[in-house]
Amino acid sequence: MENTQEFWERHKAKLNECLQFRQFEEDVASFRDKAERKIEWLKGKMYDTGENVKQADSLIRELENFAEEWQEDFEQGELVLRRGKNLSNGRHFAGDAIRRKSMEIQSVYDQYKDVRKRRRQILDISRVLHKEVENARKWCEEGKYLLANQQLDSCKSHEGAEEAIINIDAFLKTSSQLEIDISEEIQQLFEGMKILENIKEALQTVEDVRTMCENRKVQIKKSVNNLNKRPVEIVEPEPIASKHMNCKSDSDTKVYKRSCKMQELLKTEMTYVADLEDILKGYYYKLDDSDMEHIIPKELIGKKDVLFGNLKEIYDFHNRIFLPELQNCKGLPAEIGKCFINRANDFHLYGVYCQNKINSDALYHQVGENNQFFRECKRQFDINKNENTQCHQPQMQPVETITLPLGSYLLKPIQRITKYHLFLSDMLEYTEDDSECTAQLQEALNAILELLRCVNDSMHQMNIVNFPGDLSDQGRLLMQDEFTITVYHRKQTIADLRVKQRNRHIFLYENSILFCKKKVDQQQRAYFDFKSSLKITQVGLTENIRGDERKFELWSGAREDVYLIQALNQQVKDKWLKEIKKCLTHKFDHIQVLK
Amino acid sequence: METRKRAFLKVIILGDSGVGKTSLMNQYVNRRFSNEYKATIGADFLTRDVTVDNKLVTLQIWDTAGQERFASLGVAFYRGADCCVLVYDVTAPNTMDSLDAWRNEFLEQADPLHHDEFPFVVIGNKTDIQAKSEKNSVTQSWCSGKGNVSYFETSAKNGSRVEEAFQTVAQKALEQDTELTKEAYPSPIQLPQDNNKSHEGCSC
Repeated sequence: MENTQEFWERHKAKLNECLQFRQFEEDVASFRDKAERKIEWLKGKMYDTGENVKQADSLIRELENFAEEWQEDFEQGELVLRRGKNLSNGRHFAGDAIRRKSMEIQSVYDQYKDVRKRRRQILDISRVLHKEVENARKWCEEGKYLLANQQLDSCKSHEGAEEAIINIDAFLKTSSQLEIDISEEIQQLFEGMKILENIKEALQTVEDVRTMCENRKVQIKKSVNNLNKRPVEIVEPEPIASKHMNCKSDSDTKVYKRSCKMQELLKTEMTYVADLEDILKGYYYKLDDSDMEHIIPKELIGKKDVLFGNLKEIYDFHNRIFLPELQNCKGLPAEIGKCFINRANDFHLYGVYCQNKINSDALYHQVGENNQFFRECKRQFDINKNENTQCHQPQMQPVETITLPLGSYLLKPIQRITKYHLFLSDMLEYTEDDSECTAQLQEALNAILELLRCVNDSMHQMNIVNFPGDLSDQGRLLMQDEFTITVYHRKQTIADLRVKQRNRHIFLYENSILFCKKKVDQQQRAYFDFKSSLKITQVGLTENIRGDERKFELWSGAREDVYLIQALNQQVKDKWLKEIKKCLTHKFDHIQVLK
Repeated sequence: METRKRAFLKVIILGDSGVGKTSLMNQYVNRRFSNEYKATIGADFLTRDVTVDNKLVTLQIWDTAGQERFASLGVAFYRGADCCVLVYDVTAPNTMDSLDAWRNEFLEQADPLHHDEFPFVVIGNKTDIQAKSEKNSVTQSWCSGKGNVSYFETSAKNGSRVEEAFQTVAQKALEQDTELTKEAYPSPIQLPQDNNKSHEGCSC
């Protein structure tokens, strides 16, 4: 009987324990469910940063409320945990299971705390960033307002202009407070999110407004310059707010200088386009003008292309393509680099222009600067220029703007094309810690230098004489230089075998290699007397000649003619080998394709 | 008869990269040198009015920065120059050694009427860094051996001697210009033959 009693007691206790455990398990499950839902909800909202400070603030409030609500659940969770502890402390049959369940609660709870903390961090950072973006936008609005309200007419006097510039400078100085921290960390944190876009957009707008301000300053200065009776265009170097500069770090200074360079590039590009337009309007189209017809010298009739070369094409390229593309770069140096790389081929227009310049000069000289047509063009040109300056400054005394003769303007393209590499290498100098940008600028610089070298070399070919074929069939001129060569012919007799070294000027074209002798004419001008040539398709190359690292060999067909060529130094040789090999492979590929 | 017409004098500045050609030009025309921001170009070509012997002339100064390594492209600029400025850097003696090459290049390409009399002005620049050129005496004797060559040591940075140097440039350019005009003058003016008369009667 007692046994039965004992048994029932034990059984009851066990059932109680079971009940407790089940109860506990249920509580744990309910807590965990709630907690996990909250975590999910938080995670889902994690990157909701709001669009502005106000929204960020309300999101922060929301999070705080959420945490308060959770407080109750949290307290329940604590209770559950404590109960679990009590249960597992006694000799509960499911002690282990209870401890495991407790740990589960703990970990879910910890997870929740982490997620909540992270959410708060993101919201705090976002709020700061929103604030900065809003400041930047406000600054931009102020800038636009300032520029819109500046009376350009008041800048027609020195005082007015000075005041306007002071105002702009004072405004620009306030931009130093517009720091927006977009460290790599933040970029990673917000990758692909709207907030990052907003920041970038804001920074860009700030940059745009800065550029607008700088442009306005240039405009004001230009109109002041016109007051000063300055002839032709003057592009002033930018003044620097030096106090402002000194407190900046070295790298900031460099970035600043680089942006100045980019602005100078853009500004001078605009001037250049305007100058080309002046030539076209002032002279080029006048050749088709029926009112002028009677004074056009007969030497010029039908010779527009000789006098101006492809100037119109150059103008169209810069006006329609290159300038807009540069303007689209919005001050990003890597983008500017890309513009040059993408347009490298278009710049070959300058090769045509430079080569024609000799014919153009001759024609210009023949017609003479003082013929009636040029004089009339210049007279009208001057009148137009003066009208333009005067309509900007009605209250001023009429001033005389002096324009240079056409001959000077025709030099502009040649001068311009030799300036780009200076800009690019300056920009490169001011670029650090940005390997992508450095790479782009370097590639652009190489491309433009290569182009200049090509154009420069192609000028030499103008002086090749006695070439039996047509030079234009030889493809582009790639390289040209002076070498010492020795020629061996397979069929030559022993007597011919006396080794005779000669100085030869070699021209490497896409399709052939020309060997010429440099001579001077009676006027001491250099020209190149054609001697022999090799077709690229038939040429063989021996890169290394034992005994002299400056030498290499070119031969035709089955070594019928062998040219032993000695460069000035190894660098020259290496450069040539590289270029020749490129030609050879290119030709080979071409032939393969044809087959 | 030409007194009312202003003379345009063409001046070309040559020298190695980095000797300060652009800076000199900007200092002379804008009276400005910027240490913090050095303009790459400043201006494509600059002009400045100067008075020489009571005559107002316009100097048209051509900077050749960027063309140093591309001699064939420079050629177009040399023609018709009235004076050539050769610049070197007093702190970099090797740039002085290039003067000879620049002078020859110019004479060969511009091909002025009298090579030996063509006016050059040699400028040793950057005296703000080094007060006196080490090569002062060498340069002096180089200049005196070449005929019509004047020598100045300047600083484009603080403007020292820049005005004087260019005043001499203007003077020499004007002399050269007058010389040429004299030689070319008097050129007979060819009046076109009026052939219309002979046709007049026949047209009806």
